[in-house]
Amino acid sequence: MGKASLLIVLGFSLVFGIVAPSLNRTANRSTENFLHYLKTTQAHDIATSAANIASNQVFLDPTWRTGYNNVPFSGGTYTVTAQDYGTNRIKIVATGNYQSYTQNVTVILQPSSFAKFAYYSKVEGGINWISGDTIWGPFHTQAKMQIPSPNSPVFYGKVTTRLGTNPKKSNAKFYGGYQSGVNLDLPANIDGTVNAAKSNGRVFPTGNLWLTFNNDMVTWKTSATGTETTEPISTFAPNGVILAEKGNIRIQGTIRGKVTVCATGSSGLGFGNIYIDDDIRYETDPRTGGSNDMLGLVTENNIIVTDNTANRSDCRIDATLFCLKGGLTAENYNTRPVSGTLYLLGGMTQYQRGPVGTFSGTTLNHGFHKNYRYDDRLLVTFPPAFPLTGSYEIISWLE
Amino acid sequence: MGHSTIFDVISSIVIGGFLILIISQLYGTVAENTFTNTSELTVQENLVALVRIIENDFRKIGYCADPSKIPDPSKSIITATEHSISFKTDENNDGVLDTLSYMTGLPSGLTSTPNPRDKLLYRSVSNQPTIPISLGVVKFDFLYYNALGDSLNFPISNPNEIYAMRLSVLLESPYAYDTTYTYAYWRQLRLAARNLKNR
Repeated sequence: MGKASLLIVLGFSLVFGIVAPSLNRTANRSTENFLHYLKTTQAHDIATSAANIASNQVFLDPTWRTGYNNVPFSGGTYTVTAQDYGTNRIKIVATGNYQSYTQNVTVILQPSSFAKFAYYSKVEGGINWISGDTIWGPFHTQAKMQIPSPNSPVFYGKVTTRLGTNPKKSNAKFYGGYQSGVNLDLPANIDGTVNAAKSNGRVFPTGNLWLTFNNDMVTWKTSATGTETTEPISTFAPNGVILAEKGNIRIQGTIRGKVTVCATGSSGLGFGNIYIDDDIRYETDPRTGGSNDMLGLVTENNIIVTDNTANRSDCRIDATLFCLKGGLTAENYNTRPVSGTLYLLGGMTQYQRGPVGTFSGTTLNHGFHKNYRYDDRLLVTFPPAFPLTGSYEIISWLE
Repeated sequence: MGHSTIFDVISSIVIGGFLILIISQLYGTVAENTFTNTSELTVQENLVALVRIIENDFRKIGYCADPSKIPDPSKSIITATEHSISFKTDENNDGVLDTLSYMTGLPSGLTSTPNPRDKLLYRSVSNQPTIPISLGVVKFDFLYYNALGDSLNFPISNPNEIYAMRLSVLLESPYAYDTTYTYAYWRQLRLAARNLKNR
């Protein structure tokens, strides 16, 4: 009996001895598999956090290139390098380490330009956003957005405001997100554009300027009846920036390449305005793809659609606009004849939105209907020396 | 043969019977545990492998090595349904924009496994041949959120609204022990592609 019991015990031990390691192996592999995922995720999270920390450093100090080396974080470490990348861009490579696992996140940042806004205003005046209004692209206002109920305007890009909306809870559709309390003021001046024109562009120190673009050529004169000169844009303004320092500019034509046209001078109609005398278009429509044409119109005062015969049956502007103290408006907007539709392909940054026509209900009495479309390219690129916001923004994030 | 001997024999038969019962029970339990554990491990490994591919792909929604090719990443998602998604990305980081799609088939389309619920998961990149993945996918469900964190109702007419998504993946073993299929479940509560709204 004793021997039998011993045999039974040995038999069971043998069976367990064979089965248990197999079960343990399976359990261990299962745990290892889970741990592998967990540790990879942890390393990834550390890398993502490091990329965020480094990006924030660049937002706070655009000259920051110090990076980090083996900083302890969340049970692991991170290392970050920040270096100049291409023209004005910064590349951040964040490496997260957790035990033997390593993950990388690569971020590319570039200076943030006012050109990225589909719509920017410092003052909204008495303008209401109403049902039927649709804005594609980023939107910002320093003022309070007036969205009287039950209107439901639609905003596809991110909307930021400094002072929120009135009423506080509106029916607007903010498909790209909404954030209030964001203070992004207009710059005090447009010296960046002015200095670029002076360094390698073209400057007209006083007087008015007439510009007619014909693809990569420009015809210019300095008085209404003056002699016209035609030359390639590349020699007329090598860096693409054209400045009338104390005068107005009148512009029309078709553009190939990247150009910024700037008018400065004290407030009023005498200086610092750009008049659109006729359509100003890109040679290649960016909506059909493959266009490198880009125009920036930068003024200290207004951008004005001229009241003339050419503009009495629609006016088309392919450009991104910047008005430091004024806005986009139509000359004689309340007396000119019904002029069709004002088409804008680009974006506008202005001190205050200007009128382009008058209405009775939905009937146009004078001026233009509006059809403004955002040029998506402005999210990642902008015309030469276009005014900057002073901070950087992320244009690419690779995990 | 005395009484004690008969008693010994009967006792031996009873004890032996119990032992045989225990051994057979043990065998069954061991076999079930071995099958279940191995099956669970396989399903779990499949899930982790699948999730790593999904995470890698989805984190790159709206990414391109050449950012000018995709200036407005908020337009990256082309179509989005409860069980499928199609979006623009730079799948192999070569600066060329790709269209990447995930979708599931019907359970009736996968007849090679006894599991009546599993189905094929398809992953396709631009014009390359579609790769059917048969890993025992039972559930591959999306829920999409707008920028304000509200979930979007199906059908989604405007994918530009999508700001984040929740993906639930349930895998089951293709074969059952008895009638029980082992399973592994993964859910990412907010799978936010950083490029979607980075501008």
